[in-house]
Amino acid sequence: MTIISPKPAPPRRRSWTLAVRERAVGAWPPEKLLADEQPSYVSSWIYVFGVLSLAALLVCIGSGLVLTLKGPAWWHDTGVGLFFNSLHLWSVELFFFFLVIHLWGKFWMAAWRGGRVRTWVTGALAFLVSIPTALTGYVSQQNFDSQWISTQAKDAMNSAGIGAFFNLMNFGQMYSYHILVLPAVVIVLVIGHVLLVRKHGVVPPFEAGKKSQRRRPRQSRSKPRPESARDAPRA
Amino acid sequence: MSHPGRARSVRFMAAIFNLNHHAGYVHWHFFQMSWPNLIVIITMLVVFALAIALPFPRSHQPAEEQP
Repeated sequence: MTIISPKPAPPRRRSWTLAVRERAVGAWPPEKLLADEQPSYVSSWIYVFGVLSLAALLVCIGSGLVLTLKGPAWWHDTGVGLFFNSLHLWSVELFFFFLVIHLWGKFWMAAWRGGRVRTWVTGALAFLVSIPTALTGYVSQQNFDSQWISTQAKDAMNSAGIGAFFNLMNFGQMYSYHILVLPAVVIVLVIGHVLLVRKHGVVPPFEAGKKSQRRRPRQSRSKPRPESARDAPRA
Repeated sequence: MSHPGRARSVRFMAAIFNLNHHAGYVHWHFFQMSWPNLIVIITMLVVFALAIALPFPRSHQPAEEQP
């Protein structure tokens, strides 16, 4: 008697969309991407400055979009325009205020611990790119203040040897940098930073980190060390 | 045309903060900084210290009983 085995299902065709989806779902499962619980140590005011920076950035982007659509005559000469101009300025001031406190907090927590180096680097880069983003905004105001800042700051750029490519006296170039190139870089870095925070979690305080390491011994792919060698220091 | 209420509030704010002049500077040996910058930095340090020192409000949900 011949036994006929059922026909096996055809192997799924590999494609780049499938690979990206599997990697994304593996790194950010829904319960991690939109977590509804946080560890108890997150109940501290020092942990709120990251999200405050994000809130200020959102107001900054929203008010900046309105200013871009309406133009300099509107933001200088009308009441609503002046309001949005002020909203844009003060959201930037608050963004840097909160961001620097966030940076201090994370620096003193050594937030790069536990495989969070990329989280730290994207955050630091976002801060560094935010500085020229703000500078190009100050020189794009179209008033005497922006003229003064651009004529003073051009000397710094010339002394650094980048004045030919980054010309603060060129309004068109500065405006393009301010409303397109640099904000796009900041937004990409911030999105990457938030995704990495979601992936690796918020850095624990030193004591909590040590306790969790004691509870969960590191899984090593190598063979377990012999009993006699466990207490000996590793070379 | 300015609103009378707005003019009143502008006069009131101007009485507290007169910004119609150059910023003052703190100059001590090598250290030189405008008062506005110094005030912002000191405020950031104070907020940083308070964020560490002040207790965070807890939720009022009863803790789950441990088996």
